[in-house]
Amino acid sequence: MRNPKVWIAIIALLVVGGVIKTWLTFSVDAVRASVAIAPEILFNLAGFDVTPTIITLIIVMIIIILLAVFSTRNLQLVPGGLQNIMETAIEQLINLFEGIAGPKWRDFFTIAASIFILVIVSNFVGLIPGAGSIGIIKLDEKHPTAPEGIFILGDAPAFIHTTSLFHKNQLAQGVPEQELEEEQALVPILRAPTSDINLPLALALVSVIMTQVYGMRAQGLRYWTRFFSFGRIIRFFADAFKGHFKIGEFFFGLIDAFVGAVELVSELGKIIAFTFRLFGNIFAGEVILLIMAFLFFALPIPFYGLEFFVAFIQAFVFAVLTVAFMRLATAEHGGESHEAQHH
Amino acid sequence: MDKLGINLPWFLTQLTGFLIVLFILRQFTYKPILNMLETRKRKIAESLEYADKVKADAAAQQKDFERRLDEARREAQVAAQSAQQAAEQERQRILAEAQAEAAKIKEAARGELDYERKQMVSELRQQVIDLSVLGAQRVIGANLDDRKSRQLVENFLNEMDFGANGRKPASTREGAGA
Repeated sequence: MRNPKVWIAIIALLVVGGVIKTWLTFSVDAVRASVAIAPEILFNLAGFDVTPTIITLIIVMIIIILLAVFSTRNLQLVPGGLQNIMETAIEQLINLFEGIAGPKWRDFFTIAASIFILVIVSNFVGLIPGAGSIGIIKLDEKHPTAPEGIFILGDAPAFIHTTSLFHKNQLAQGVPEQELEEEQALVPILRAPTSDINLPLALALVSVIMTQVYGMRAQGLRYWTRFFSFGRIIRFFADAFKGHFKIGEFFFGLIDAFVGAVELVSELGKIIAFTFRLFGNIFAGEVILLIMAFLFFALPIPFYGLEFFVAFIQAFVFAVLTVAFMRLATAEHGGESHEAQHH
Repeated sequence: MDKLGINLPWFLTQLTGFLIVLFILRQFTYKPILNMLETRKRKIAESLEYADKVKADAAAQQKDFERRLDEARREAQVAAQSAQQAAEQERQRILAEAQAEAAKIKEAARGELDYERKQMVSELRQQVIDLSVLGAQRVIGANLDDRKSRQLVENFLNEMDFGANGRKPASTREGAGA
Protein backbone atom coordinates (compact mmCIF):
# COMPACT_ATOMS: atom_id res chain seq x y z
CA MET A 1 0.00 0.00 0.00
CA ARG A 2 3.02 2.26 -0.08
CA ASN A 3 2.48 2.54 -3.81
CA PRO A 4 0.93 5.98 -4.41
CA LYS A 5 -0.74 4.71 -7.60
CA VAL A 6 -2.98 2.47 -5.50
CA TRP A 7 -4.16 5.44 -3.44
CA ILE A 8 -4.71 7.57 -6.52
CA ALA A 9 -6.82 4.78 -8.02
CA ILE A 10 -8.89 4.44 -4.85
CA ILE A 11 -9.50 8.20 -4.60
CA ALA A 12 -10.39 8.38 -8.29
CA LEU A 13 -12.89 5.55 -7.86
CA LEU A 14 -14.49 7.32 -4.90
CA VAL A 15 -14.77 10.58 -6.84
CA VAL A 16 -16.29 8.83 -9.85
CA GLY A 17 -18.68 6.98 -7.58
CA GLY A 18 -19.75 10.20 -5.91
CA VAL A 19 -20.30 11.95 -9.24
CA ILE A 20 -22.39 9.09 -10.58
CA LYS A 21 -24.36 9.02 -7.36
CA THR A 22 -25.22 12.71 -7.47
CA TRP A 23 -25.77 13.18 -11.19
CA LEU A 24 -27.55 10.00 -12.10
CA THR A 25 -30.77 9.55 -10.24
CA PHE A 26 -30.49 5.97 -9.20
CA SER A 27 -33.00 5.21 -6.57
CA VAL A 28 -33.32 2.07 -4.58
CA ASP A 29 -36.42 3.37 -2.85
CA ALA A 30 -38.73 2.47 -5.69
CA VAL A 31 -38.14 -1.23 -5.25
CA ARG A 32 -38.27 -3.35 -2.19
CA ALA A 33 -34.81 -4.64 -1.63
CA SER A 34 -34.84 -8.33 -2.16
CA VAL A 35 -33.64 -10.20 0.87
CA ALA A 36 -34.59 -13.69 -0.03
CA ILE A 37 -32.99 -16.66 1.67
CA ALA A 38 -34.19 -18.94 -1.05
CA PRO A 39 -32.85 -17.97 -4.46
CA GLU A 40 -35.36 -16.11 -6.61
CA ILE A 41 -36.56 -17.68 -9.82
CA LEU A 42 -35.39 -15.88 -12.92
CA PHE A 43 -37.22 -17.91 -15.51
CA ASN A 44 -38.46 -21.38 -16.16
CA LEU A 45 -36.59 -23.59 -18.57
CA ALA A 46 -38.54 -26.66 -19.61
CA GLY A 47 -40.00 -27.18 -16.17
CA PHE A 48 -36.78 -26.32 -14.38
CA ASP A 49 -36.66 -23.12 -12.33
CA VAL A 50 -33.46 -21.29 -13.16
CA THR A 51 -32.17 -19.16 -10.31
CA PRO A 52 -29.48 -16.46 -10.27
CA THR A 53 -27.29 -18.78 -8.24
CA ILE A 54 -27.41 -21.40 -10.97
CA ILE A 55 -26.48 -18.83 -13.61
CA THR A 56 -23.64 -17.65 -11.41
CA LEU A 57 -22.57 -21.23 -10.76
CA ILE A 58 -22.26 -21.75 -14.50
CA ILE A 59 -20.16 -18.59 -14.79
CA VAL A 60 -18.00 -19.76 -11.88
CA MET A 61 -17.56 -23.14 -13.53
CA ILE A 62 -16.54 -21.49 -16.79
CA ILE A 63 -13.98 -19.35 -14.94
CA ILE A 64 -12.54 -22.35 -13.10
CA ILE A 65 -12.48 -24.56 -16.18
CA LEU A 66 -10.75 -21.87 -18.23
CA LEU A 67 -8.22 -21.33 -15.45
CA ALA A 68 -7.68 -25.06 -15.04
CA VAL A 69 -7.19 -25.70 -18.71
CA PHE A 70 -5.20 -22.63 -19.64
CA SER A 71 -2.90 -22.67 -16.65
CA THR A 72 -1.69 -26.17 -17.43
CA ARG A 73 -2.04 -26.27 -21.19
CA ASN A 74 1.66 -25.86 -21.75
CA LEU A 75 3.43 -26.91 -18.59
CA GLN A 76 7.00 -25.72 -18.26
CA LEU A 77 9.63 -26.83 -15.81
CA VAL A 78 10.40 -23.18 -15.24
CA PRO A 79 6.90 -21.77 -14.73
CA GLY A 80 5.64 -18.40 -15.85
CA GLY A 81 2.41 -16.44 -15.99
CA LEU A 82 -0.78 -18.30 -15.26
CA GLN A 83 1.01 -21.56 -14.58
CA ASN A 84 3.06 -19.83 -11.91
CA ILE A 85 -0.03 -18.45 -10.21
CA MET A 86 -1.84 -21.78 -10.32
CA GLU A 87 1.21 -23.67 -9.10
CA THR A 88 1.72 -21.26 -6.25
CA ALA A 89 -1.91 -21.63 -5.22
CA ILE A 90 -1.77 -25.43 -5.42
CA GLU A 91 1.50 -25.48 -3.54
CA GLN A 92 0.09 -23.33 -0.78
CA LEU A 93 -2.87 -25.68 -0.50
CA ILE A 94 -0.52 -28.66 -0.39
CA ASN A 95 1.50 -27.06 2.39
CA LEU A 96 -1.67 -26.27 4.29
CA PHE A 97 -3.12 -29.77 3.96
CA GLU A 98 0.19 -31.43 4.63
CA GLY A 99 0.44 -29.44 7.85
CA ILE A 100 -2.92 -30.81 8.93
CA ALA A 101 -2.99 -34.34 7.58
CA GLY A 102 0.70 -35.19 7.26
CA PRO A 103 1.61 -37.62 4.48
CA LYS A 104 -2.06 -38.56 3.96
CA TRP A 105 -2.76 -35.21 2.31
CA ARG A 106 -2.65 -36.81 -1.14
CA ASP A 107 -5.83 -38.78 -0.46
CA PHE A 108 -7.80 -35.73 0.59
CA PHE A 109 -6.31 -33.18 -1.76
CA THR A 110 -8.69 -33.49 -4.72
CA ILE A 111 -11.86 -32.96 -2.71
CA ALA A 112 -10.58 -30.35 -0.27
CA ALA A 113 -8.79 -28.29 -2.92
CA SER A 114 -11.79 -28.42 -5.26
CA ILE A 115 -14.05 -27.27 -2.46
CA PHE A 116 -11.65 -24.45 -1.68
CA ILE A 117 -11.40 -23.31 -5.29
CA LEU A 118 -15.12 -23.54 -6.02
CA VAL A 119 -16.08 -21.74 -2.82
CA ILE A 120 -13.53 -18.97 -3.14
CA VAL A 121 -14.35 -18.27 -6.79
CA SER A 122 -18.09 -18.37 -6.02
CA ASN A 123 -17.66 -15.96 -3.14
CA PHE A 124 -15.57 -13.58 -5.20
CA VAL A 125 -17.96 -13.67 -8.16
CA GLY A 126 -20.73 -12.80 -5.73
CA LEU A 127 -18.73 -9.70 -4.81
CA ILE A 128 -18.45 -8.42 -8.38
CA PRO A 129 -20.14 -5.02 -8.48
CA GLY A 130 -23.53 -5.55 -10.09
CA ALA A 131 -24.03 -9.02 -8.70
CA GLY A 132 -27.13 -8.64 -6.58
CA SER A 133 -27.91 -5.13 -7.80
CA ILE A 134 -28.46 -5.66 -11.53
CA GLY A 135 -31.53 -7.69 -12.13
CA ILE A 136 -35.04 -8.14 -13.30
CA ILE A 137 -38.17 -6.47 -11.90
CA LYS A 138 -41.23 -8.60 -12.08
CA LEU A 139 -44.39 -7.00 -13.41
CA ASP A 140 -47.92 -8.14 -12.88
CA GLU A 141 -51.44 -6.77 -13.06
CA LYS A 142 -50.96 -4.63 -10.00
CA HIS A 143 -47.59 -3.33 -11.15
CA PRO A 144 -47.89 -3.00 -14.90
CA THR A 145 -44.90 -0.66 -15.22
CA ALA A 146 -41.47 -0.50 -13.71
CA PRO A 147 -41.05 1.85 -10.76
CA GLU A 148 -39.69 5.29 -11.48
CA GLY A 149 -36.04 6.07 -11.07
CA ILE A 150 -34.92 2.62 -12.13
CA PHE A 151 -32.17 2.36 -14.65
CA ILE A 152 -33.38 0.08 -17.41
CA LEU A 153 -31.06 -1.56 -19.88
CA GLY A 154 -33.16 -1.90 -23.03
CA ASP A 155 -36.59 -3.25 -22.33
CA ALA A 156 -36.65 -6.97 -22.88
CA PRO A 157 -34.95 -8.74 -19.98
CA ALA A 158 -36.16 -6.32 -17.34
CA PHE A 159 -39.81 -7.13 -17.91
CA ILE A 160 -39.93 -10.87 -17.68
CA HIS A 161 -43.11 -11.85 -15.97
CA THR A 162 -42.56 -14.47 -13.31
CA THR A 163 -44.24 -15.63 -10.17
CA SER A 164 -42.01 -15.11 -7.22
CA LEU A 165 -41.21 -17.82 -4.77
CA PHE A 166 -42.59 -15.50 -2.14
CA HIS A 167 -46.03 -15.78 -3.72
CA LYS A 168 -45.66 -19.50 -4.03
CA ASN A 169 -44.91 -19.70 -0.34
CA GLN A 170 -47.88 -17.55 0.53
CA LEU A 171 -50.13 -19.68 -1.59
CA ALA A 172 -48.69 -22.80 -0.02
CA GLN A 173 -49.49 -21.39 3.42
CA GLY A 174 -53.12 -21.03 2.39
CA VAL A 175 -53.26 -17.27 1.88
CA PRO A 176 -56.15 -16.55 -0.48
CA GLU A 177 -55.04 -15.32 -3.88
CA GLN A 178 -56.78 -11.96 -3.49
CA GLU A 179 -54.92 -11.16 -0.27
CA LEU A 180 -51.46 -11.93 -1.59
CA GLU A 181 -49.00 -9.39 -0.30
CA GLU A 182 -47.92 -7.46 -3.34
CA GLU A 183 -44.41 -6.34 -3.87
CA GLN A 184 -42.08 -5.38 -6.59
CA ALA A 185 -38.72 -6.88 -5.94
CA LEU A 186 -35.57 -6.89 -7.96
CA VAL A 187 -34.46 -10.35 -8.95
CA PRO A 188 -30.70 -10.15 -9.42
CA ILE A 189 -29.14 -11.89 -12.38
CA LEU A 190 -25.98 -12.78 -10.47
CA ARG A 191 -25.85 -14.05 -6.95
CA ALA A 192 -23.07 -15.99 -5.25
CA PRO A 193 -23.85 -19.72 -5.50
CA THR A 194 -22.61 -20.08 -1.94
CA SER A 195 -25.43 -17.81 -0.78
CA ASP A 196 -27.86 -20.41 -2.08
CA ILE A 197 -28.09 -23.10 0.56
CA ASN A 198 -28.05 -25.89 -1.99
CA LEU A 199 -24.37 -25.51 -2.85
CA PRO A 200 -23.10 -25.43 0.77
CA LEU A 201 -25.36 -28.41 1.46
CA ALA A 202 -23.98 -30.30 -1.53
CA LEU A 203 -20.40 -29.54 -0.48
CA ALA A 204 -21.11 -30.50 3.14
CA LEU A 205 -22.63 -33.81 2.06
CA VAL A 206 -19.70 -34.55 -0.21
CA SER A 207 -17.28 -33.68 2.56
CA VAL A 208 -18.98 -35.75 5.26
CA ILE A 209 -19.80 -38.73 3.06
CA MET A 210 -16.28 -38.86 1.66
CA THR A 211 -14.97 -38.66 5.23
CA GLN A 212 -16.87 -41.89 5.98
CA VAL A 213 -15.53 -43.45 2.78
CA TYR A 214 -11.94 -42.62 3.65
CA GLY A 215 -12.49 -43.83 7.21
CA MET A 216 -13.78 -47.14 5.93
CA ARG A 217 -10.97 -47.41 3.44
CA ALA A 218 -8.38 -46.87 6.17
CA GLN A 219 -9.90 -49.07 8.88
CA GLY A 220 -12.37 -51.32 7.16
CA LEU A 221 -15.59 -52.20 8.93
CA ARG A 222 -13.90 -51.44 12.25
CA TYR A 223 -14.44 -47.77 11.37
CA TRP A 224 -18.11 -48.05 12.22
CA THR A 225 -17.34 -49.05 15.81
CA ARG A 226 -16.68 -45.36 16.23
CA PHE A 227 -20.43 -44.81 16.11
CA PHE A 228 -21.79 -48.21 17.08
CA SER A 229 -19.55 -49.49 19.84
CA PHE A 230 -21.49 -52.28 21.48
CA GLY A 231 -18.50 -54.59 21.83
CA ARG A 232 -18.29 -54.37 25.60
CA ILE A 233 -21.98 -54.78 26.19
CA ILE A 234 -22.08 -57.85 23.97
CA ARG A 235 -19.10 -59.23 25.86
CA PHE A 236 -20.93 -58.60 29.12
CA PHE A 237 -23.97 -60.54 27.95
CA ALA A 238 -21.78 -63.34 26.63
CA ASP A 239 -20.08 -63.58 30.02
CA ALA A 240 -23.42 -63.38 31.79
CA PHE A 241 -24.66 -66.27 29.70
CA LYS A 242 -21.71 -68.30 31.00
CA GLY A 243 -22.54 -67.22 34.53
CA HIS A 244 -19.94 -64.47 35.13
CA PHE A 245 -21.51 -61.15 35.94
CA LYS A 246 -19.07 -58.26 35.46
CA ILE A 247 -20.96 -55.14 36.43
CA GLY A 248 -18.05 -52.86 35.54
CA GLU A 249 -18.00 -54.25 32.00
CA PHE A 250 -21.69 -53.48 31.72
CA PHE A 251 -21.31 -49.84 32.75
CA PHE A 252 -18.30 -49.29 30.56
CA GLY A 253 -20.26 -50.87 27.76
CA LEU A 254 -23.06 -48.40 28.33
CA ILE A 255 -20.60 -45.51 28.29
CA ASP A 256 -19.08 -46.81 25.03
CA ALA A 257 -22.50 -47.04 23.44
CA PHE A 258 -23.36 -43.54 24.60
CA VAL A 259 -20.06 -42.09 23.30
CA GLY A 260 -20.74 -43.79 19.98
CA ALA A 261 -24.18 -42.22 19.82
CA VAL A 262 -22.72 -38.80 20.58
CA GLU A 263 -20.16 -39.30 17.80
CA LEU A 264 -22.94 -40.23 15.40
CA VAL A 265 -24.93 -37.12 16.26
CA SER A 266 -21.87 -34.90 15.95
CA GLU A 267 -21.07 -36.45 12.58
CA LEU A 268 -24.56 -35.61 11.36
CA GLY A 269 -24.21 -32.21 12.97
CA LYS A 270 -21.16 -31.61 10.82
CA ILE A 271 -23.38 -31.54 7.75
CA ILE A 272 -25.52 -28.79 9.28
CA ALA A 273 -22.48 -26.93 10.63
CA PHE A 274 -20.68 -27.01 7.29
CA THR A 275 -23.80 -25.93 5.41
CA PHE A 276 -24.84 -23.07 7.61
CA ARG A 277 -21.35 -21.78 8.34
CA LEU A 278 -20.73 -21.15 4.66
CA PHE A 279 -24.25 -20.20 3.65
CA GLY A 280 -24.78 -17.98 6.69
CA ASN A 281 -21.54 -16.07 6.28
CA ILE A 282 -21.97 -15.36 2.60
CA PHE A 283 -25.68 -14.64 2.74
CA ALA A 284 -25.24 -12.38 5.75
CA GLY A 285 -22.46 -10.60 3.91
CA GLU A 286 -24.79 -9.82 1.03
CA VAL A 287 -27.48 -8.58 3.38
CA ILE A 288 -24.99 -6.36 5.22
CA LEU A 289 -23.79 -4.81 1.96
CA LEU A 290 -27.40 -4.16 0.93
CA ILE A 291 -28.36 -2.58 4.23
CA MET A 292 -25.22 -0.42 4.32
CA ALA A 293 -26.06 0.83 0.83
CA PHE A 294 -29.42 2.05 2.14
CA LEU A 295 -27.79 3.90 5.01
CA PHE A 296 -25.13 5.90 3.22
CA PHE A 297 -23.70 5.47 -0.22
CA ALA A 298 -20.02 5.13 0.81
CA LEU A 299 -20.68 2.96 3.83
CA PRO A 300 -20.51 -0.41 2.03
CA ILE A 301 -16.87 0.20 1.07
CA PRO A 302 -15.24 -1.00 4.33
CA PHE A 303 -17.74 -3.83 4.53
CA TYR A 304 -16.94 -4.72 0.96
CA GLY A 305 -13.31 -5.18 1.99
CA LEU A 306 -14.45 -7.24 4.96
CA GLU A 307 -16.51 -9.44 2.65
CA PHE A 308 -13.42 -10.21 0.58
CA PHE A 309 -11.77 -11.39 3.74
CA VAL A 310 -14.84 -13.45 4.70
CA ALA A 311 -14.97 -14.92 1.19
CA PHE A 312 -11.43 -16.20 1.59
CA ILE A 313 -11.80 -17.31 5.19
CA GLN A 314 -14.94 -19.34 4.51
CA ALA A 315 -13.32 -21.22 1.64
CA PHE A 316 -10.25 -21.78 3.80
CA VAL A 317 -12.26 -23.00 6.78
CA PHE A 318 -14.38 -25.36 4.71
CA ALA A 319 -11.32 -26.97 3.10
CA VAL A 320 -9.29 -27.13 6.30
CA LEU A 321 -12.13 -28.66 8.32
CA THR A 322 -12.74 -31.22 5.59
CA VAL A 323 -9.10 -32.29 5.69
CA ALA A 324 -9.03 -32.28 9.48
CA PHE A 325 -12.16 -34.46 9.75
CA MET A 326 -10.87 -36.84 7.10
CA ARG A 327 -7.60 -37.12 8.95
CA LEU A 328 -9.44 -37.88 12.20
CA ALA A 329 -11.56 -40.50 10.47
CA THR A 330 -8.56 -42.26 8.95
CA ALA A 331 -6.56 -42.22 12.19
CA GLU A 332 -6.85 -45.43 14.19
CA HIS A 333 -8.67 -44.88 17.42
CA GLY A 334 -7.52 -48.00 19.23
CA GLY A 335 -4.56 -47.13 21.46
CA GLU A 336 -2.11 -49.97 20.79
CA SER A 337 -3.02 -50.56 17.16
CA HIS A 338 -2.41 -46.85 16.58
CA GLU A 339 1.17 -47.35 17.62
CA ALA A 340 1.46 -50.49 15.53
CA GLN A 341 0.15 -48.72 12.47
CA HIS A 342 2.95 -46.21 12.53
CA HIS A 343 5.84 -48.63 12.95
CA MET B 1 -36.97 -26.62 3.68
CA ASP B 2 -38.81 -24.65 1.03
CA LYS B 3 -38.23 -21.41 2.93
CA LEU B 4 -34.52 -22.11 2.93
CA GLY B 5 -34.72 -22.85 -0.76
CA ILE B 6 -33.61 -26.44 -0.49
CA ASN B 7 -35.12 -28.41 -3.29
CA LEU B 8 -33.91 -31.44 -5.13
CA PRO B 9 -33.42 -30.07 -8.68
CA TRP B 10 -31.47 -27.08 -7.45
CA PHE B 11 -29.46 -29.23 -5.06
CA LEU B 12 -28.61 -31.69 -7.83
CA THR B 13 -27.67 -28.84 -10.15
CA GLN B 14 -25.25 -27.42 -7.61
CA LEU B 15 -23.88 -30.87 -6.78
CA THR B 16 -23.35 -31.64 -10.46
CA GLY B 17 -21.63 -28.31 -10.89
CA PHE B 18 -19.25 -29.13 -8.04
CA LEU B 19 -18.55 -32.61 -9.37
CA ILE B 20 -17.79 -31.26 -12.84
CA VAL B 21 -15.44 -28.68 -11.34
CA LEU B 22 -13.82 -31.39 -9.23
CA PHE B 23 -13.33 -33.70 -12.19
CA ILE B 24 -11.93 -30.96 -14.44
CA LEU B 25 -9.60 -29.66 -11.77
CA ARG B 26 -8.38 -33.15 -11.02
CA GLN B 27 -7.80 -33.97 -14.64
CA PHE B 28 -6.38 -30.67 -15.86
CA THR B 29 -4.84 -29.09 -12.81
CA TYR B 30 -4.01 -31.33 -9.90
CA LYS B 31 -2.55 -34.25 -11.81
CA PRO B 32 -0.28 -32.24 -14.12
CA ILE B 33 0.71 -29.73 -11.48
CA LEU B 34 1.44 -32.36 -8.83
CA ASN B 35 3.46 -34.26 -11.40
CA MET B 36 5.24 -31.08 -12.35
CA LEU B 37 5.99 -30.24 -8.73
CA GLU B 38 7.25 -33.76 -8.20
CA THR B 39 9.42 -33.58 -11.31
CA ARG B 40 10.75 -30.22 -10.28
CA LYS B 41 11.51 -31.45 -6.77
CA ARG B 42 13.37 -34.42 -8.21
CA LYS B 43 15.22 -32.22 -10.67
CA ILE B 44 16.23 -29.81 -7.94
CA ALA B 45 17.38 -32.67 -5.72
CA GLU B 46 19.38 -34.07 -8.61
CA SER B 47 20.84 -30.68 -9.38
CA LEU B 48 21.80 -30.17 -5.76
CA GLU B 49 23.37 -33.58 -5.66
CA TYR B 50 25.24 -32.84 -8.84
CA ALA B 51 26.31 -29.47 -7.47
CA ASP B 52 27.56 -31.18 -4.32
CA LYS B 53 29.48 -33.66 -6.41
CA VAL B 54 30.95 -30.91 -8.53
CA LYS B 55 31.83 -28.97 -5.43
CA ALA B 56 33.52 -32.03 -3.91
CA ASP B 57 35.37 -32.61 -7.16
CA ALA B 58 36.43 -29.01 -7.25
CA ALA B 59 37.60 -29.22 -3.66
CA ALA B 60 39.60 -32.35 -4.44
CA GLN B 61 41.06 -30.71 -7.49
CA GLN B 62 41.85 -27.63 -5.50
CA LYS B 63 43.60 -29.75 -2.91
CA ASP B 64 45.49 -31.60 -5.62
CA PHE B 65 46.39 -28.35 -7.26
CA GLU B 66 47.59 -26.90 -3.99
CA ARG B 67 49.62 -29.99 -3.29
CA ARG B 68 51.22 -29.76 -6.70
CA LEU B 69 51.78 -26.07 -6.26
CA ASP B 70 53.47 -26.75 -2.93
CA GLU B 71 55.61 -29.39 -4.52
CA ALA B 72 56.56 -27.10 -7.35
CA ARG B 73 57.31 -24.34 -4.93
CA ARG B 74 59.48 -26.60 -2.87
CA GLU B 75 61.26 -27.83 -5.97
CA ALA B 76 61.77 -24.32 -7.16
CA GLN B 77 63.14 -23.41 -3.78
CA VAL B 78 65.54 -26.35 -3.86
CA ALA B 79 66.58 -25.47 -7.39
CA ALA B 80 67.08 -21.85 -6.50
CA GLN B 81 69.09 -22.84 -3.46
CA SER B 82 71.32 -25.17 -5.42
CA ALA B 83 71.71 -22.55 -8.12
CA GLN B 84 72.68 -20.05 -5.50
CA GLN B 85 75.18 -22.47 -4.07
CA ALA B 86 76.62 -23.16 -7.49
CA ALA B 87 76.78 -19.47 -8.18
CA GLU B 88 78.53 -18.89 -4.89
CA GLN B 89 81.03 -21.62 -5.67
CA GLU B 90 81.56 -20.22 -9.11
CA ARG B 91 82.07 -16.80 -7.65
CA GLN B 92 84.58 -18.14 -5.18
CA ARG B 93 86.35 -19.99 -7.93
CA ILE B 94 86.43 -17.00 -10.23
CA LEU B 95 87.55 -14.78 -7.39
CA ALA B 96 90.32 -17.17 -6.46
CA GLU B 97 91.36 -17.48 -10.08
CA ALA B 98 91.33 -13.75 -10.50
CA GLN B 99 93.29 -13.29 -7.35
CA ALA B 100 95.83 -15.85 -8.49
CA GLU B 101 96.04 -14.20 -11.86
CA ALA B 102 96.47 -10.84 -10.28
CA ALA B 103 99.18 -12.16 -8.03
CA LYS B 104 100.91 -13.74 -11.00
CA ILE B 105 100.69 -10.53 -12.99
CA LYS B 106 101.96 -8.59 -10.04
CA GLU B 107 104.81 -10.99 -9.63
CA ALA B 108 105.65 -10.82 -13.31
CA ALA B 109 105.47 -7.05 -13.27
CA ARG B 110 107.71 -6.92 -10.25
CA GLY B 111 110.25 -9.24 -11.93
CA GLU B 112 110.26 -7.12 -15.06
CA LEU B 113 110.61 -3.97 -13.05
CA ASP B 114 113.53 -5.45 -11.15
CA TYR B 115 115.16 -6.50 -14.35
CA GLU B 116 114.68 -3.11 -15.92
CA ARG B 117 115.97 -1.38 -12.86
CA LYS B 118 119.03 -3.62 -12.89
CA GLN B 119 119.44 -2.84 -16.53
CA MET B 120 119.11 0.88 -15.88
CA VAL B 121 121.56 0.77 -13.00
CA SER B 122 124.03 -1.11 -15.06
CA GLU B 123 123.65 1.38 -17.92
CA LEU B 124 123.93 4.25 -15.48
CA ARG B 125 127.04 2.71 -14.06
CA GLN B 126 128.62 2.50 -17.51
CA GLN B 127 127.72 6.12 -18.14
CA VAL B 128 129.05 7.22 -14.74
CA ILE B 129 132.24 5.36 -15.46
CA ASP B 130 132.51 6.97 -18.87
CA LEU B 131 131.77 10.41 -17.48
CA SER B 132 134.22 9.99 -14.65
CA VAL B 133 136.95 8.88 -16.98
CA LEU B 134 136.18 11.70 -19.36
CA GLY B 135 136.12 14.20 -16.50
CA ALA B 136 139.34 12.95 -15.12
CA GLN B 137 141.00 13.14 -18.54
CA ARG B 138 139.96 16.77 -18.83
CA VAL B 139 141.24 17.50 -15.37
CA ILE B 140 144.60 15.95 -15.85
CA GLY B 141 144.76 16.75 -19.51
CA ALA B 142 146.22 13.50 -20.40
CA ASN B 143 144.95 10.50 -22.04
CA LEU B 144 144.46 8.07 -19.41
CA ASP B 145 144.88 4.46 -19.98
CA ASP B 146 141.38 3.69 -20.74
CA ARG B 147 141.23 0.23 -19.37
CA LYS B 148 143.08 1.07 -16.22
CA SER B 149 141.05 4.16 -15.37
CA ARG B 150 137.87 2.35 -15.95
CA GLN B 151 139.00 -0.28 -13.56
CA LEU B 152 139.70 2.40 -11.01
CA VAL B 153 136.28 3.94 -11.27
CA GLU B 154 134.80 0.55 -11.21
CA ASN B 155 136.52 -0.26 -8.01
CA PHE B 156 135.46 3.07 -6.56
CA LEU B 157 131.90 2.42 -7.42
CA ASN B 158 132.16 -0.99 -5.95
CA GLU B 159 133.53 0.53 -2.77
CA MET B 160 130.63 2.92 -2.80
CA ASP B 161 128.42 -0.06 -3.43
CA PHE B 162 126.68 1.79 -6.22
CA GLY B 163 124.49 -0.45 -8.23
CA ALA B 164 126.58 -3.49 -7.70
CA ASN B 165 124.08 -4.89 -5.39
CA GLY B 166 120.50 -4.50 -6.49
CA ARG B 167 119.35 -5.32 -2.97
CA LYS B 168 119.98 -1.96 -1.48
CA PRO B 169 119.55 0.55 -4.20
CA ALA B 170 117.57 2.99 -2.09
CA SER B 171 120.07 3.34 0.71
CA THR B 172 122.87 3.50 -1.84
CA ARG B 173 121.11 6.16 -3.78
CA GLU B 174 120.41 8.00 -0.59
CA GLY B 175 124.02 7.77 0.32
CA ALA B 176 124.99 8.96 -3.14
CA GLY B 177 122.65 11.91 -2.97
CA ALA B 178 124.05 12.94 0.38
